[in-house]
Amino acid sequence: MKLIFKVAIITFVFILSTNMYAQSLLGYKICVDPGHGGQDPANDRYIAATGFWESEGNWDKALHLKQMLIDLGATVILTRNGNTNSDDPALSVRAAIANNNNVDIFHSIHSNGFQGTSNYSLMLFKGTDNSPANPNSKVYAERVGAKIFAALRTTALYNRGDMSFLGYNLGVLNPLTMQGVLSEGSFHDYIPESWRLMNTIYRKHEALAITRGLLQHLNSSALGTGAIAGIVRDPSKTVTYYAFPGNDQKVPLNDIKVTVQPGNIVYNGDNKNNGYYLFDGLVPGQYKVLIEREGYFKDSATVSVVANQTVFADKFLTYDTTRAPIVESYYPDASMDSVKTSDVVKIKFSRPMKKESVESSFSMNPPVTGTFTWTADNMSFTFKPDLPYLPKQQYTVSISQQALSIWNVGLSESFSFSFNTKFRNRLNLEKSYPIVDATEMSTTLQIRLQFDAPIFQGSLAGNVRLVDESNALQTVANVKVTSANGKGYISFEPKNPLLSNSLYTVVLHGKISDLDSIPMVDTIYIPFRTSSEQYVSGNVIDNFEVLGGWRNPNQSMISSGIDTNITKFAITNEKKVFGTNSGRLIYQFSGTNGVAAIPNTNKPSTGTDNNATVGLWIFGDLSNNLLELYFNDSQNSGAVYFVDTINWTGWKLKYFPLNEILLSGEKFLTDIAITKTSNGAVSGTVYFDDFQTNVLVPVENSVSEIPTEFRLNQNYPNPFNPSTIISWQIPASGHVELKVYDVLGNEITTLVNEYQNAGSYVFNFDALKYRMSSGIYFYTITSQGKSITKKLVLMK
Amino acid sequence: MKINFTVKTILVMIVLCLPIYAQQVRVGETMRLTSLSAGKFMNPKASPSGTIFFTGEGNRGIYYLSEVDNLIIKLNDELGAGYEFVFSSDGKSIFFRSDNYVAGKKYSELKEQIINTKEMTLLQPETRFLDVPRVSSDGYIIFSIDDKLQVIGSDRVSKKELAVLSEPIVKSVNNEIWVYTNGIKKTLQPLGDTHYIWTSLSPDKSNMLFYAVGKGTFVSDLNGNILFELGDIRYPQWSPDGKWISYMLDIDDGRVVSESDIYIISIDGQSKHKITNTENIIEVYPSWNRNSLIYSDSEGMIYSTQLFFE
Repeated sequence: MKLIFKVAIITFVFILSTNMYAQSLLGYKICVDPGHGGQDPANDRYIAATGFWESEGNWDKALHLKQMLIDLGATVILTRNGNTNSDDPALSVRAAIANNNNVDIFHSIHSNGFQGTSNYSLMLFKGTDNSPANPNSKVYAERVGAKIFAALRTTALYNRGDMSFLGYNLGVLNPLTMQGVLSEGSFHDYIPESWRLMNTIYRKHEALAITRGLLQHLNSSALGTGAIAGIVRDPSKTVTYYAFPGNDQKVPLNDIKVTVQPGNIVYNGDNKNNGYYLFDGLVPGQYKVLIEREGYFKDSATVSVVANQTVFADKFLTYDTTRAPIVESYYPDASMDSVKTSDVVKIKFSRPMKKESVESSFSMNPPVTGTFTWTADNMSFTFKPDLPYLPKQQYTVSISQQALSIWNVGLSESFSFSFNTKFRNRLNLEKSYPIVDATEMSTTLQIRLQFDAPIFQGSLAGNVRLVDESNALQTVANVKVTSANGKGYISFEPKNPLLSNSLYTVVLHGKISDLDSIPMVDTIYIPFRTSSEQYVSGNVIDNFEVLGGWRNPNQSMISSGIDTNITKFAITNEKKVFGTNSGRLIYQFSGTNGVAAIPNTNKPSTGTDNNATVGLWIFGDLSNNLLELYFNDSQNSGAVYFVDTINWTGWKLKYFPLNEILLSGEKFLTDIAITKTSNGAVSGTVYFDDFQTNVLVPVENSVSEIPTEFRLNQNYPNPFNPSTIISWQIPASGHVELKVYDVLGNEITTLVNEYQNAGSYVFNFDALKYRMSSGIYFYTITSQGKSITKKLVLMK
Repeated sequence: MKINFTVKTILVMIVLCLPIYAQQVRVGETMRLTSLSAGKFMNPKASPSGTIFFTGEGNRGIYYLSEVDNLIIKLNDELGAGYEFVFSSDGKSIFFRSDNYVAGKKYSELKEQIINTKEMTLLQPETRFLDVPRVSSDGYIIFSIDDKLQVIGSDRVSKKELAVLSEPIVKSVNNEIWVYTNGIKKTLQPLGDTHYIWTSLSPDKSNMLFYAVGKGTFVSDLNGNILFELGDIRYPQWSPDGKWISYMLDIDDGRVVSESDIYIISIDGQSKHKITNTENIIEVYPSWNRNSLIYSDSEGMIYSTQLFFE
């Protein structure tokens, strides 16, 4: 019997609800205009903080409203057909649709926006406050405004003429030939409201309010049913965005479940941070509302539903602190067959946790050290390992029951999961130019680095350095980070020429990482010495300041096997030794052999002094191709002179005696050529400057390589982790000791203990090898009875 | 089927062969006909004799500009009267719809008003869903109630059958265009299921002009076969000789019309001329007055611009 009674009630509710809707607006024609349309950031009102588009909200409200009005028997005209960018008619078109269809009333649905700190309801009609263009519009505005204000519970209600409120006529109301209103129900840039507007049920409530307003205005019977609505919040949590004092400052709860009895009607809330629920179409009477949310104590309310109104039952749910926390989610999860060795571990709990208890109950096998980062609510943490995981290794993450919620309740059961790592756990430097301890480097060299994976550019800032002997940072230019064929490349140049015959070091910090965030880990030092040669210019035959007789390679009789679309010669100010410009040859070979030659139609003479030395500055491209010069004599006999294999970067003066050219008499330069070798690059760029004769034979730099003083340089970097470079100079040969001590004077290790010739030295000190902990240490060098000590700081 | 196809093809070919002369258009003087202090007016229309009529805010009332002293004369203050009023063929009277709201519900009457005497005659008592009136070239008054076409004879009393009409009637109703020819109604959706607005018959009664929402403005024959596509131009209006179409290009941000200018375009879309080119004036809703265009602006003032076709 009891069951039958319930069924009867439900049936009665349904029938009554249907009757209340039926016929009430039969014969009325209503135009509903969902404002805006599509997702054009310029005019469709997007709120980035919540992801809300006004165009989408208006459209959804209009669809709800259309259905309600059709259920009431009305004919409904919508001014747009959907919510794409092509469903956005001009305002004049929207009004014309209403006019053409001769509707009784027009309602344009909008939400408002202004600095995020307002949330009132605004009804606008055409005209001034006291002189509406159509008096019926003002009456309707007052009626529907009251309903919307009551449903949305905004801070205030304004019913205004557009000219009075805005100072201009609204484009959609201006051409209307019937009563019409534009409603700005609430403010979508007030963030609590923006979240509510993300909920289709909230939008439906506004549509319900408009329906009530239309029913009242069109003098039909009011809805015979009522509604229950409310917001469920957590009183213990405060929102992080701006909200008015009061309930909006408390966090609304997602994923609520609300049940209304009798009828057992269930509403499952969304996850859009609004905590909103609505039941409409309820027959007036007493109802019980049961509110549930996982992790909270249940709550309920008894409400009396009144016809044509909404009764509100807002609730603050109390957190259930007695429940044992569980792990709700973790990362890397089981769906990943292998993870990057640079990856992190993430755990999300069902309750706020005591961080210390979780961190001490957390373990990984094999063991991993790292850093915990917690979210503000203490419910999630990220564990970032200090070093990449071992490659191809299974790791097991465990959390014991000693992990406690902030209410001292332990995990219901211990938790563990496993994951496997990928094969790579280091970014490797494969090649460098210069190589370690290289000498005779150009003072304008281009430093080139090749890695086994593309580089994450964001990891380079401050981690790629060029320093001189005293660790002074050198400014660099033309930094390029590229990738090709799975490799990563970095190139750069000193902004100003380096000193000749000097020691420099390229420092690549271990934090440099690839696109998978896998770091190098170990810092790499590439010391090199610049060339000691210095030059005095001879008689310049061609300074490459202007094109003169130089022509593109496709005009040379010598060129072959080149892509003429790419292989070009030009005068440029990109690089120079002297003057303003130099000659640039960009070349691309089309096969395994080829010659890219630039001809000179002027055929400049190198003079008749066969004992003179001729020279040409060339900025090398490390291509391993050949630099060759072609000459003619006065009888037009030709000869080619192989100058060098281009295995350097930067400017170098290449010179040779004229008598090595197998021609007699006066010689004329006809071409400068790059000839492909079997292991040479298929493409490259070289620059030429100051072709000259009577070059004074370069002399060794007068600056001696022998240091003049005993010196210990400050280690670099400092502080460091885990390695740093220590350098020193000794003016005389002898026994050298380099030792590291802790602050108490205990010797940690001896780094150097050997006989060394006078000169400059570098030592790459790796603290990991000596299991040193963070702290201050000292390093002391002793030679020839003298000692120098400096401080270094290890910071892990 | 084959015969119909042939007929259609010939019809389209004939229309396509209409001589669209490559006329040069020179824009002459623009005159502002009303001032802000006189009130806010909109939607000007010219009578057959060239008198300029317009309406007030919300299409309330009908006014005209006296040719004698340039004064604004109020004909009536009826609600909705200014929406698509029409003139008798002799230009002596005006037909309009007058709206009334009874507890929010819209009712309309059809009225005729003698311009000189302002004498008003009720042609159709108050009813629901009364459409705007039309006047045929042979003097019949045509309107619809609840989308059912009615015809009144030139005596203003006798009701006629649709078949008496010697010329077609076109009107758009929601997502359809209705074409009445010889009393037969044809329902068209030339561009599919979308709203059709601003539909009108060409002066020679052979073609029609309409705006399909989301598609643009088109010229078609009376079977809905598209002859010319003119783009997203708004409020298109035939010139008296049927060679040109005036329109507005209004731009809005979803709330307010921020700019608009008036243009004309040849019906084949090949020749387009910008008639207004102002930064601060938002010109809207143009219509023809012989070789002039009359239009209003967003402030509620009426303008006239002379055109010279050379």
